[in-house]
Amino acid sequence: MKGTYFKRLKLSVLVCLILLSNLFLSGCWSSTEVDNLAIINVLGIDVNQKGDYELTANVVKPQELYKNSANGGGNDAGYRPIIETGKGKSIVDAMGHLSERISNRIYLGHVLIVVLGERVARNNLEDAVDFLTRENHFRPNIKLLVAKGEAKSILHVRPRVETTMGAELESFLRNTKYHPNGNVLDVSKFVEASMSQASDPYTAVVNLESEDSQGKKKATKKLDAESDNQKLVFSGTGVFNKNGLMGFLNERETEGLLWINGNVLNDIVVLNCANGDTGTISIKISHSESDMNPRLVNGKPVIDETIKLNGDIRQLTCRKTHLSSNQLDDLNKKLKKKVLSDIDSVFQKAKRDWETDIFGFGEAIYKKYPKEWEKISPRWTQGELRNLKVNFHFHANISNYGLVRESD
Amino acid sequence: MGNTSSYQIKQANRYEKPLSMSLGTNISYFEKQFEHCDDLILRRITIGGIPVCYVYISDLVDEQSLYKLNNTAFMSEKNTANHLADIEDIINSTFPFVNIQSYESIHSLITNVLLGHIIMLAEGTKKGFVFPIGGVNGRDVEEPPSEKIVRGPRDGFVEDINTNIQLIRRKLRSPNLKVESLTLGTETNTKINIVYIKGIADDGIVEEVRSRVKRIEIDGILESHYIESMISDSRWSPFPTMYSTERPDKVCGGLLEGKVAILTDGTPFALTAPALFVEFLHSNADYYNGSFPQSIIRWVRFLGLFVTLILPAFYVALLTFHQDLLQAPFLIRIAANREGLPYPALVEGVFLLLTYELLREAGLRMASPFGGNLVTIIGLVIVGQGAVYAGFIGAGMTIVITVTALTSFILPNYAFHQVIRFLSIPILLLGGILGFLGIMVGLMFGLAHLVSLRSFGVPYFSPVSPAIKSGWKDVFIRAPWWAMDRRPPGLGVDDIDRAGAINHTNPPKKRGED
Repeated sequence: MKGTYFKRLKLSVLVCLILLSNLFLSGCWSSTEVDNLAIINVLGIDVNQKGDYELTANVVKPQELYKNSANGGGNDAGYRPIIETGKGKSIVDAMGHLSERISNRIYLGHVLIVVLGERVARNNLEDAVDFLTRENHFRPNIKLLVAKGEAKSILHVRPRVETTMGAELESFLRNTKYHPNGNVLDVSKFVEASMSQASDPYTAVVNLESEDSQGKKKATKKLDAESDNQKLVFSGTGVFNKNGLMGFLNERETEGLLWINGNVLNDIVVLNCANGDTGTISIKISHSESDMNPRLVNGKPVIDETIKLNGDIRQLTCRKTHLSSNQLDDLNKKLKKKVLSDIDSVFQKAKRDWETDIFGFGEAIYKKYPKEWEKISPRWTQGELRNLKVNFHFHANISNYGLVRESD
Repeated sequence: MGNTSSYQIKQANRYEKPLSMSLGTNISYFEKQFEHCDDLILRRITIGGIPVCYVYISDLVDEQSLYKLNNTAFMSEKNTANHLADIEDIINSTFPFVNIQSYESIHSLITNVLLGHIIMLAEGTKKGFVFPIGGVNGRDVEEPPSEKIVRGPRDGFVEDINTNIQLIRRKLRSPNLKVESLTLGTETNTKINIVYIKGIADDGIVEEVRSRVKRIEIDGILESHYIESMISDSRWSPFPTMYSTERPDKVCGGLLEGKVAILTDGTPFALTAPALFVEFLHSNADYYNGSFPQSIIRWVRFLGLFVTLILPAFYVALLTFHQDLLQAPFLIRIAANREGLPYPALVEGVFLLLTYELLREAGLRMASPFGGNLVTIIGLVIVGQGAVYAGFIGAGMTIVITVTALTSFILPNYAFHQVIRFLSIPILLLGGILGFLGIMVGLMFGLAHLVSLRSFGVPYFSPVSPAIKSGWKDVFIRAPWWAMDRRPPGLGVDDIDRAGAINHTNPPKKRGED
């Protein structure tokens, strides 16, 4: 009896071993050790004069980054990431050439930021979007930025606060004076907007600023040397249509766009005092929301846009201001005027001149009146958007006076 | 069991001899059986004119009780010599409160001698009389070192089975508590007790336990695990299907739920059956403290189970297959740590786990003058630090393995703890070869195996699968005692109600109101 048990045990152990050895035959397929990865942090896409793509990668050197990790680590002053550029007929081809210059395996899983060069954004947007949608190693929430000038030069700047360039850019975006990521789209949203008939994409603009020896600031388009004087500045918004970058919105126009999107948080609005007083009132926007409501008037769509703002008074340098309710009403009116003029300036550029629907009006009409939308959609960016009437309803509430209470 | 083994034939031929009427023949038989046993004492005296002989093993018998027995024997000599001629009457009248049993088979008498009792053989009778004498040199009842709790009774089982039964009887003072006794092991003659509560325990399960225990044929039982392994439902499964414990209160709690306990002489570890998987994640302290903290602690234990089982595998799979799942700063940190390390993460994991087991086992064996556990701890620290410092092993891996090694002790039952600890190694291999897919495959196989197990006919994974919702009061949470008015279902318990329906108070909300 016992003999047969052990014979059966032997047999089953043998079968198990044979089955188990099959596991090892795969040889850890698709496994990679962490230290064999070239962790690309920021990716820049450029196209040069001849029409070749240039892909620039900012590869993190972890061991350099944390030289003294046992003692707490931190950014070593001498830390330089590997910045390498590959050229090719297409973006993927450029990627292939890039891997010839980097010993480890190119790893795109942790790309935080993709920067599009200005020329790519203007002329080759479709190629770039196609690459971004097809490359399956990207995370869908990578932030997309557009550079004034070459993306390559942005990548050569050294981070000043964070350890890596990607973290630095991300933290820039998170802590803007607008709503976090207010005027930045991530790759998936950008692609979605650029594929959609009813909306157009936009995203934040990054450019270089350098201080020359006299301490004068100037915007530079090219990196002269790897100097510490160069730094990144976020300025305005790049506006796209289906074919590519149309142009840039300045700070004021960007604010106009964000008022419409209800994406303002922490923005400071400075208003002048009444009656020729030279002082100012600074209001910090603590909450903003917007509601887009299309309706049909004589068969034509009209947008009712409601904007609600809450603001706190943060600094008051007017001499004779007592914050009575009349005064607050006056302030509200001033705020409204300011917001509407911002909106007007962005409408001037994006709606009238460029005819791009970065506001999502088309989307709103399509959702509410799909049949109407079908009629107007072919001419949407050829006149319909330009002539669209938008009514604004504005509610501002300046409530908190800070810690100061006026005595009446 | 159709064919008879040589073992069984040999056993059948032993001791099968009745006593003879002649005292001399019987004594010489004992002398022959116990040849070269210098500790066997044969003391011949006469009681009431009848020559008798006390037989006992000197080392097993308490000397104090020996003196008492002698004194009474002399007293009886004076008082009763003239009236009574029959030795049985003399014994019964002399020791009215002592349960003196008589046997005719030499086998039973020899067993009793070996159990530490004194037997008396007398001229002219075919009976031998057994004087039950308490054993000597037992350990005191103390708190079991492997199952310490903060609040709750502090008594623990000892090696002596009579003390252990006494500990149970003191907690369950009911005639329904049944204690069935039998002897196992041809050479060890170990006393086994099957304990259950009549009317609560399922008769079928009791009968099943009884028949399985009686079926055992072996030369010796030195620990209750011998029995456990021979009567458990699935002999190949690494998972324990009987709960072993040193705590009488744990046994009593089980008995009240309709379980059957098996006590073995010579070991403080009692077995209770049927055992369910969830039981191994419950500690007895759960029942002696508030339901709210204990429910949370149960969840911590569930977490501990998973950490012990899959944390090393998870870490290795994360590092070699699923780097995308890490945060960017975390990945960069880990990459910085692992720069220039010679071995892949999987090899590191296996190596560290083995090192830990080596040091742990060495620490267990090491005599305390050499350092004992202290050496293990310091050894682990030095080896871990040194390996990281020398650049052989990543710092992250040492953290993971140390956390795993420490977390495994969260599991209250030692047998279960060991199984889970060692199952983490195959899962680590699977995780290192196939990534998360491998871990999932390993866990699925494990789960399928667990669900297929049974403990004395009761599904091992009940009441979770098959789901018996009324039993969940004592699985994921520990319901307050006033809410546990029923015994856990699924054990085939006859008498399901254990308490009144309303066992909580309803004080008036306002003063003066009723």
